Parts: sequence; C-alpha cells; structure tokens
Amino acid sequence: MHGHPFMQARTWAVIGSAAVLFAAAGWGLSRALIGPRPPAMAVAPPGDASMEARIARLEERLERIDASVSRLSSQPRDKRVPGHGAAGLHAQMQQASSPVEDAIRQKRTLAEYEQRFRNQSRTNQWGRDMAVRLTDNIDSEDILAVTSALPASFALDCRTDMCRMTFSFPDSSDAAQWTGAYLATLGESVGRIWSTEIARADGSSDIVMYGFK
Amino acid sequence: MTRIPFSAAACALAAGLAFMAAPSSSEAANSRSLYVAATSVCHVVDPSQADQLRFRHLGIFNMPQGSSVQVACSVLGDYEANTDDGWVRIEARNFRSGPASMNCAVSGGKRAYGVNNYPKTIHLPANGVGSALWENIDRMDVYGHYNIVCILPPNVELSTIWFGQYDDGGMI
Repeated sequence: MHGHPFMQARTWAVIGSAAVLFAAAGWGLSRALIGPRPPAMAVAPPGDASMEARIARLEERLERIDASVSRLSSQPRDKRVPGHGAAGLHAQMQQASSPVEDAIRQKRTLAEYEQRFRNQSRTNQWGRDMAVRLTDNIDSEDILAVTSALPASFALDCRTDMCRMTFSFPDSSDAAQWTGAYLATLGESVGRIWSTEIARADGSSDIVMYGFK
Repeated sequence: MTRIPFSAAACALAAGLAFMAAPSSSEAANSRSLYVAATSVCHVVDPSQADQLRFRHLGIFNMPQGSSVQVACSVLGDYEANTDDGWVRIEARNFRSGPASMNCAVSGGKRAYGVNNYPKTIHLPANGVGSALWENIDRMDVYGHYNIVCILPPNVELSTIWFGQYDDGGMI
C-alpha cells in the first residue's frame, strides 16, 4: 500500500527525528546513570606534581567564578527582567505590589506635567479652541446617554500645546464611569491624555487630566 | 522485509532535523499580535443597559432601538513586552443605511499611578465596516494594563479587536 509521496517523506522525517531523539535520550540517560566515560589520561598517579598544580589552578579558578556569581547575585536586578520560572514569577509579583512606589510615581508625573503646563503661554489659538471643545464634551449627548453621574464641578485650562482638566466627584466610584465615557467622546481632539485620580478620605475625589496636542 | 536505502534514511534524518529546528526560530520572536472577538473581552459598563446589547459570535451589537452604550474591553498585556509601543486595532460594523461614527479611547497604565488615554473616532460607512488603529500606546510600566472604552451607537457592532506588543528583548 502506497501513500501520498509527501506523507511518505513526512513519515521518514518523523522516523528520523524519533531515531535521533531516541539516541540522544539514551546517551543522556547513560551519562546520567553511569557518568561519562573517563578519558584515557584522566587518572594521574599519586604524587604527580603537574596534576596537583593543575588541580590547584582549577580550584583557584572556581573560587574566582564563585566570587563573580556572588557579586552578580547581590546586584539589584533589572526591573524588566527578574528572571524566569517560578523564582522569576515570584520576583515579578513582589515588585508589582508596591503602592508606595506607585504613589511616588503618580506625584512625580503630576509635578512634571504641572511644571510643563505652567511654563506655557495662555494666549494661543489652539488652547482657546481646545478649551471650548473640551468644555462642550463635558455634558455631551453621548455621555449623558451612558452615565448618570456628572462631575460636581470642573476646571479647564488650555495653553500652547497642553490642557489641564480637573473634575470633582462627591463619590469617587462614580468618577470612573464618567471619566471613561468622557475620554472616549473626545475623538480626535487631543493626541494623548494622562489621567489620574486623587481620592480624599471622605469618599470624594478629583480626576486630574493633562491633555497633549 | 524491505531495506531502507541509505540515501532515503539520510534525507529523512535531514528533514527530521529541519522539522525539529523550525520551532526554535519562533522562540526569539520580538512581537506578538492577537485577534479576538469583542464578545469575549468587552462588557457593558452600566448593567442597566445590558438589555440593549447582543453578545454574538462576531461581536457585540447594540440594538437599533435605544441609545448609545458604554462598553469597556480589556486586552492582555505581557510583562516581557515593551511598555511604550503597544498597538490596538478595532473594527466595527455599521448596520445603518447612513454613515455612523463610534468614539473610543484606548488606555494604558494603572489606577495607582495614572493612565495614558488615546481617544479616537472610528468612521463607519453606511452598511459597512470601519476600523481605527492606535499605535505607540504607552502603559508606562511593565505592570500597566491596557483597556478600551467605546461608546457603541445603536445599530452598530463592535466586532474584532486586534492587539499587539513588541519586545526588544526577544522574549515574547
């Protein structure tokens, strides 16, 4: 019985691969069970000075390698590559849960954008047009259709190529729904908007946004 | 029993090695893109509007009678991927006899330290399909996630979400 020529070739390919894998596995198993075959000149007679010197050099080299590994282990890891496997995953989880770092990062970004915003000119056509557009969107039909909670108050200011928007909500849980809808309705008006929430102890919150041209 | 010619065995061995070598080349990939129907990754933000939506095998459809509905969709971010060049393509189908538009914002980041949002409008021809592409989405950190919010108009279906990430380290 004859199959398709391609199937025959594939059959031989599979047989060949299996043979190679089987041979490799057998070789590996024999190495693991009985160890590598000793080379003909591996065993030196007792008292061989040259061999003792060679072993001493090897021991010295191993100590240097060991010291290098210890040094590398004590260095802080690159945050992006904590390693692989279970140990790497564990390191990722540990790094991810750092509210203090997140809070520092939020404050740092806020300060950076605020500084950049304050350095910009107030008299700018793009800024004036954008302020009108962003204000119009605050209670647009699209948003009113999909969210019930509106901000209790807001402040909006646009300058050379940035806008700053602050929306206050009595209930911070309402803020996310409105914010998501508001951002979606902005269409092509701004390229990127960085947003963050500043929550207060009484349950209210401010959503602060910086929009970039 | 038929003897196997040496040349045939050699060819089989070479082909076998080639088959074995093929998967290893994909281990060094530096990009990954995934397609998913909106049905499996999007949800209605306000459950009281859920009755207006139909979660179908080709996407989420907002029934003709009714208003726009806010839906939020999450796509998977990879820890190993770059943080500043993710991309998303969204396709939608308009069943109206006239053109329509759908507003969406793709975001990357985390509630704790802030989110980058990228608003965009998808223009949909009458009885046709439209799409929009977001590039260079910056999630700011390897722990940042990606999200999509769309205001789905009536008689429009949010169909396919195509999402991709790059990895300069070649680990994804």
